[in-house]
Amino acid sequence: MVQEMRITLQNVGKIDPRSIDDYMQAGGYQALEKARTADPMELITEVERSGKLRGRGGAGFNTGLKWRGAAQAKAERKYVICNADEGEPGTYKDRIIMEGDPHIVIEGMLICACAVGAAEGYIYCRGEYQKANELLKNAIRQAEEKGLNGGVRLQVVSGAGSYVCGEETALIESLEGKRGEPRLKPPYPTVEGYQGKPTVVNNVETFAAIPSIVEKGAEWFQSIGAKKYPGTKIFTLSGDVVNRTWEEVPTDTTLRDIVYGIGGGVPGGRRLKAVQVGGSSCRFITGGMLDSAADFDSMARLGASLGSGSVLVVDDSHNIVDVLVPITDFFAHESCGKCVPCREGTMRMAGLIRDIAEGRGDEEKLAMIRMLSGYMQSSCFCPLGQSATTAVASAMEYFPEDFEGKLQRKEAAVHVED
Amino acid sequence: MSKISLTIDDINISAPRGSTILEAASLAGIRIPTLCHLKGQNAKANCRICVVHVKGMATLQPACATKAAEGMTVLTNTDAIRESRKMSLELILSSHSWDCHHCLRIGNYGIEELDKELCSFCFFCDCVKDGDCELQALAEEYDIRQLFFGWCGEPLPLDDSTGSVVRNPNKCVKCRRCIEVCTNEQTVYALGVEHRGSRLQVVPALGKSLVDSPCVKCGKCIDVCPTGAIYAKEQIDEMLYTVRLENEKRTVAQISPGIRGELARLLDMDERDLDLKRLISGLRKIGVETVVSEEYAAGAADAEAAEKLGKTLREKAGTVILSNSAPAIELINKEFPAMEKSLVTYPSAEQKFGQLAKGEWAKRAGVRAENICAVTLSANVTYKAEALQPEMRTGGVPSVDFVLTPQEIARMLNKTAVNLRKLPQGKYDLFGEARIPSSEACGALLASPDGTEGLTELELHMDGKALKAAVVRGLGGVRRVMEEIQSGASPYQVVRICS
Repeated sequence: MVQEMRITLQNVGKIDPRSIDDYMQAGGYQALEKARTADPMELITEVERSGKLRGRGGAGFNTGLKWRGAAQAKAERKYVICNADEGEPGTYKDRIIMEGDPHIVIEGMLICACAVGAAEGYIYCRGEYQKANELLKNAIRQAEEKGLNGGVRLQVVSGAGSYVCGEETALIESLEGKRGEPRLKPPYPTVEGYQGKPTVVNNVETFAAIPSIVEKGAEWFQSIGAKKYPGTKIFTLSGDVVNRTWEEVPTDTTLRDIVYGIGGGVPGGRRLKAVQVGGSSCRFITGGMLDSAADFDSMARLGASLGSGSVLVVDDSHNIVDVLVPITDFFAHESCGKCVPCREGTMRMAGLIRDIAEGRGDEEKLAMIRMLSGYMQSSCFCPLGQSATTAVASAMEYFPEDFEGKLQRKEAAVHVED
Repeated sequence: MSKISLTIDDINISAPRGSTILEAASLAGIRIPTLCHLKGQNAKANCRICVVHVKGMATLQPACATKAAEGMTVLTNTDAIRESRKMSLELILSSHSWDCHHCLRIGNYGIEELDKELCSFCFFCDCVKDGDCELQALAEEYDIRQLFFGWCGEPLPLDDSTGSVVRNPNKCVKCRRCIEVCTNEQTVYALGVEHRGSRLQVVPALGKSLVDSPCVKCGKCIDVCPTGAIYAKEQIDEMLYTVRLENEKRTVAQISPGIRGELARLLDMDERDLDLKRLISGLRKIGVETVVSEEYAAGAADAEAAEKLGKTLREKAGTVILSNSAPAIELINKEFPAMEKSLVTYPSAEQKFGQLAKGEWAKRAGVRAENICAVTLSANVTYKAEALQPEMRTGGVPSVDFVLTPQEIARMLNKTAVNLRKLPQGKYDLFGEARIPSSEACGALLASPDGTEGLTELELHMDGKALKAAVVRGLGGVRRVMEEIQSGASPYQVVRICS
C-alpha cells in the first residue's frame, strides 16, 4: 500500500492559492520568522544536517552545501533564483506546487535569502505556465504588503520556451537577457552566477521543502524516506497507466508502488513493458526492476536516475523505437546549437531513429546510433547533449528485439517481464 | 607566479597556476588540435576538437577551457579521443559547403603537401582560402575520407551586401570567433547567432544583411575566421580584365609595405626572403604600367592632416577627433552622431594615392581620370569599403578602383604563374617631384600603427602650446574614448582614432 506523505504539497487543494491569509492560517511564514531570528550559519547547518536535503530538480546536489558556498562567498550582492522552468517531458510537479500553494515557494526563497545574505531573487518560470506566473506574482505582492519579504525583492521572470534554460547556467544567461546557452563550469553559480555574483539556484520542489525543515527540524526530515536521500518526492505519472496522476511519497517508496499503487497499473489488460523515470533524458527500466526504491541512489544503482520524478509507463503494445521518435525529435528541437556534438548529433540521432521506426533501418544505421550515442555522452558541452541519447542507449540494451523487429519490418516485438 | 605540476601524456609538466590544459600541454611541446579556440579570445569550447581525457572525469574535457590543476593526469591522444575528434569533424563537414568536399586536399591521404599553385588550376571550388583553411587541415590530419552520416548541407545565399566583407554561411563552422572579436574586442555588435540546434546560424544582428547591421567593415572577423566563411571581396578577375583588355586604360598601382608578412606566409616564404621590389616586376609582368611606393601619398596625406588639425585647433574648442580610418569614422557616424562636429577627417594613403593618380599625375601625363585604373596593394581590408564610398571620387570617377589584399595578391600571382622567387627586382616609379615631409609636430600622432592595440598618450606642440593627445587603436578603445569625450571626462585635446 502506498503511503502518501505531503510536505511540499501540504496545502495543495486545502487552501486558496490566491490567499496569503489561508496560507498563514495553515502555519505559513512561521518558518521564515524562525529563520530570521536564527544565526544564518546555524540555519544552513540545519538544512545541511536535515539529512542532506538534495536538490529536487534532478541533479541531487546537497542544498545546504550550495547555500554554504554562496553564504561564504564575499560579494556586495548575492542572488537567490528559483528554477521554475519545468521543461522535462512528463514532469509537472512544480506546476502543482506553484498553482496550488505559491507562498510555500516564496517562503522557501525568503529563508534562503536570509541564510545566504541575498537581497534580491528571481523566479524563472516556464513561459507556458501562465497561471503559475500570475499566482507567484500575486503571492509576492501579498508578502510585500504584509512586510514579510523583509526588504528582499523577488521578481517573476517568464521563460521563453527553451528546455536548456532549465540548466542553471543557461537559465542565468537567459535571465541576464542573453541567449539561453550554458556557461562553462567552473565557476559555479554559487561563486559567479547572476551578474557575476554568488547565486543560489534551486528547484521549486526544493524551496517548497525548506519551510517544513526549518520548522520541524533536521531530525524529523531525516527520519523520512531513504537514508541518503531523505524526505519526500513528487512523482508525476503519464503514459499507459490507469491513473495519470501525481503524488508525493517518502523517497523509499518502490517503483512498483508508484506504478501500481498510485498509477493503478497498466490499463486495458495490457502488460507493462518499460518505465522511464525522470524524463526524456533518463534511461528506460524494465518491469523486473520495479522493486527498487525510487530514491536518487537506488535509481543510480540500477544505472538509471530519479531525475525530475516523472514516470512514463509504456505498455506492450508499443515498439520501443516508436517511443524513441518523439524523444529524439525533442532533443533535436531543444539543442541550443552551441557545441558540435549536440548541434549536429541530436539532429542525426532523430533522423536515424525515425528511419528505423519507419522501416528504413539497417544494421549499419544501428551501428551509427551506437557510435553517435557514445560520442555524445562523452563529448557534449552540457548535460542536455550528454544525456540526449540516454534513453536510446537503454532501449537498445533492454529491447534489442524491438530494433530487430523494425529492421525486419515486423510489428511490435514483445518483451515483457513483470 | 606560483606553479602547479601535472602529467600530460606521461610527461611531468610544471605550468603557471591558472593555465589551461591546452597552455600547459604546449609548454611541453604537446600539440592539441583546436578549431574554435583562438589565443586572446575567451574560451568558447564549442567545437569539441580539443577534447582530452582528464583522469577521474566521466566525460571528455575541452583542453582550451579546462584549467590545469595540481596533480592532474591528462591524456591527449588516445583512440577514444581521436575517434571523438574525428566524429566532430565528420559532423561539421557533413553540413558544410559542398564544394569543399570536392577538394583534392581532403580525403586524399598522401597528397596533403599539394602545392598551392594547384588551386589556381582547379575549378572544383569557389573558396578564397587556397588550402589556408583550418578545417581542411584538421580534416586531412584526421583522415576524413567519406561522410559517415551523409551530406545534409542546405545551400544558403552569400551576403556580399557590403561590397567588401563577404559572408558565405555555407562554410561557417559556428566557432563564433567572429562574434567574439566583433562583440568583445571591437564592440561593434554586428554579429550574433539565430535559431538553435542544427538550424543555428551565425548572422548579422537581427538576421539582416551585413550592410543593414551595425557592421563598419573593419574586417576583424575576416582575420579570425578559420575557414572561408568570411572573406574580403575579391577583385582579381575584374582587375586582370582591366589591365589586360581595356587597352585605353593606364594602370597605376601602389604597394604598401604592410602586405609583406601576410604575403610571405601565403607564399610559404620567410618574410626576410620576400623582396617587394620583385613584386614590382611581377605587377609589370601582369600588365601594370606604373608602380609606386606608399611613401609619397602617405606623406601627402599626413601633411593634409597636419594642416586641417592646426586649423581646427585654432578655430574650435573642445576635443578634436582626428581620423582617416573608414570604420572608426563610420562607428562615430552611426553611434556618436553628436560628435561628428568634432571630427576632422583626412585621406588614407590609399585614397590620397587615388586622388593624386587621377588628379595631378593624370594631368601631367595627359590622361583623363576615367582612363586611369588605380590599384592599391594593402594588408588593410578596410580600404576596400572606403574605396566604395560615394564621396571618394576624383575627376568624376572613384579615386581607387581596386584594393588587393595579400590573399588576393597571392592568388593573383598563382593564377598568372608569377613566381616572386625567380623574378628580378623592379624599380618604383616616381610619383611626384618632391616628397612632402610629414609635419614634425604631428609625426608621432600620425605614425602608422605599430601593432599595439589600445591607447597611447603623447604630447603635441603646436603654435608654442603643449597639447595632450592620444592615439587609440581598436574600435573597442575608440568606443570607450568617445564615451569619455561625450561625458566630458576626457583629458585630451586631440585624439586620433584607428580601427
